[in-house]
Amino acid sequence: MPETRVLLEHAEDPALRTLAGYKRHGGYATLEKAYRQMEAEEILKELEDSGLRGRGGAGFSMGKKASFLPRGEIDKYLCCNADESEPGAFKDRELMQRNPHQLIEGIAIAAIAADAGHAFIFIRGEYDLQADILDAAVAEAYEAGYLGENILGSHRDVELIVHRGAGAYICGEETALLDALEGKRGNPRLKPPFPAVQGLYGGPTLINNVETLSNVPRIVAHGAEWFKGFGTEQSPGTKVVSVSGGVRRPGNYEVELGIPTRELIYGLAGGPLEGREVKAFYPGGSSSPVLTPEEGMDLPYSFEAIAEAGSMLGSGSIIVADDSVSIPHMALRTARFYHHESCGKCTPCREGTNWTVKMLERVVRGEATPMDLDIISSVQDNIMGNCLCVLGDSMAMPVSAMVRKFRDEFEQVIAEAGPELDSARIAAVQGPAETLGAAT
Amino acid sequence: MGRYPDRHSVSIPALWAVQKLYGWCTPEGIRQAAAVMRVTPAYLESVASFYDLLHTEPVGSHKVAVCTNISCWMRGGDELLDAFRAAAEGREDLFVTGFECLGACDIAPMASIDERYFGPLEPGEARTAVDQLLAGEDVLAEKALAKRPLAGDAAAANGGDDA
Repeated sequence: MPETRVLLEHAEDPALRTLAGYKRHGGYATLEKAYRQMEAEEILKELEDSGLRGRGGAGFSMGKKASFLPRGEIDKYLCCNADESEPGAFKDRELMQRNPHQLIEGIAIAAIAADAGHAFIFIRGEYDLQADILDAAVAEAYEAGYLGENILGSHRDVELIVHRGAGAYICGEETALLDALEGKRGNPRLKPPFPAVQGLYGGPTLINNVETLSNVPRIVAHGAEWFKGFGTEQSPGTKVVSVSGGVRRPGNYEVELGIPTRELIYGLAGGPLEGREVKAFYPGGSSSPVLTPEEGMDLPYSFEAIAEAGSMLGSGSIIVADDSVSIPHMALRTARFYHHESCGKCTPCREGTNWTVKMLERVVRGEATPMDLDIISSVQDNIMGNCLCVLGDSMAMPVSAMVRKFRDEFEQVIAEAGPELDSARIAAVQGPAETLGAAT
Repeated sequence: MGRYPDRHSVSIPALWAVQKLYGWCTPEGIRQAAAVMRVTPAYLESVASFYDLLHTEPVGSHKVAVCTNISCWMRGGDELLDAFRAAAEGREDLFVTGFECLGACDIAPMASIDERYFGPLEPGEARTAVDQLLAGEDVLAEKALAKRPLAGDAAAANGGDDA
């Protein structure tokens, strides 16, 4: 099954990055139509009817989110979340690098729907090349009158700023992004109030992912029905899927949602490396619970099917672990990431990620007992649903899934290093017998 | 600063500017930025210390970040980091660090060398990259992410076999 390139259409053309190149492929025609002829309600309705679901991770209806913004005379904002930092995800990087104007056009059109006069692209600081490309594209769009004051005589203004982050995964969380954009440390806020009501600078704010906003021009151009012609009923449209890890052709592939997962992993990405087999995979970035091939390979790759299997489509990033990968080590890598990126604001996440890392280190060093696995699981249960934002849950979900599904392997790792270490540990504890006696 | 609805928003861009000028976020640079922004230096320091890319201590003028997260780890990211560290031995103007996911799992294992992405890299290429970097030459030109075609196009060009 080949790719279905909609967002990545013409992406092989390096000239697409320039305004002239983008216009040659029909770019900015929709923006012109939207600013000259369309009302906010029309655009909003089209977006809502299309059923476009957020491509950043949560999968919430984009049109609905935009409709939550109150109307009236109040400063409203639009933020494009380009802080793609989830391990396994690299689709937004591709979209910004190859087709920056598509995103800018999407932002300018969505700004009508949200009635936002200020828009921001918050891009992770590591994406320096992509930020440079966006800067150049934004400058061109201003020059052409597609951004700035009184766009195409519509009496609408949109100021767009490309704002570079400085290296923090948490800033991809929408409220942390707002804090970072306000010039603070990127700490998440308590919700509610949701950003649609009270976001940036206290004003109503629409926050959408790069891929979500990149979908906007075509939906407005061709209509909701056209968009629903791709994908499944509950997951309409195409999706740029990042496939990486133990596959022969890692990369971004744009497909219709709902194609068999096997087709992505074995067809497009070429399947596991020579002599290897798939042992498990993350279907939606490192925060999604891992699936075994038996559970997940024949599922349709859609929001609903992956959720039904107890995982999530998330940002649409598949990481394949082949049979050479030790699951306890992979769990430790995963946990270490979240431990490093936890902002430290709330206790379950700050302490939970820390203790999970410590316990998993004991497991891979062979110093744990099978009982520790139960404690690891219980720590995950205590993190889930108890944090300000989903960062804690993002570690808890995959780690608890790995312990549950690969418990044998965890126990084997413990058992293999067990006996000698046990005696060494007892010796270490009992070492200075006098001290021990004196203490009691 | 005038472009933002609120001047505080400029703190990260201001710290980037400080780092560009001094090589890292020096106390002097932070004081200057704080004076312009009309905030306290302590406020800007608290922001700088939050973010991984802002350095609050001196670092080399050239920076290499090697990704050691899941997909890169599976493909030898740790070995690549070791190789870069060995190659950087005794070269003070080079700052090598392991880094969490850089968002380029398609070119794993990879490194960000002076803000540009390169991969997939062999440990043996670390020394070449370091030599080229310090000599002011183009680094590993054929491994630059900027020059890569889309994965699907590369596969088609190679008859579907480019493992």
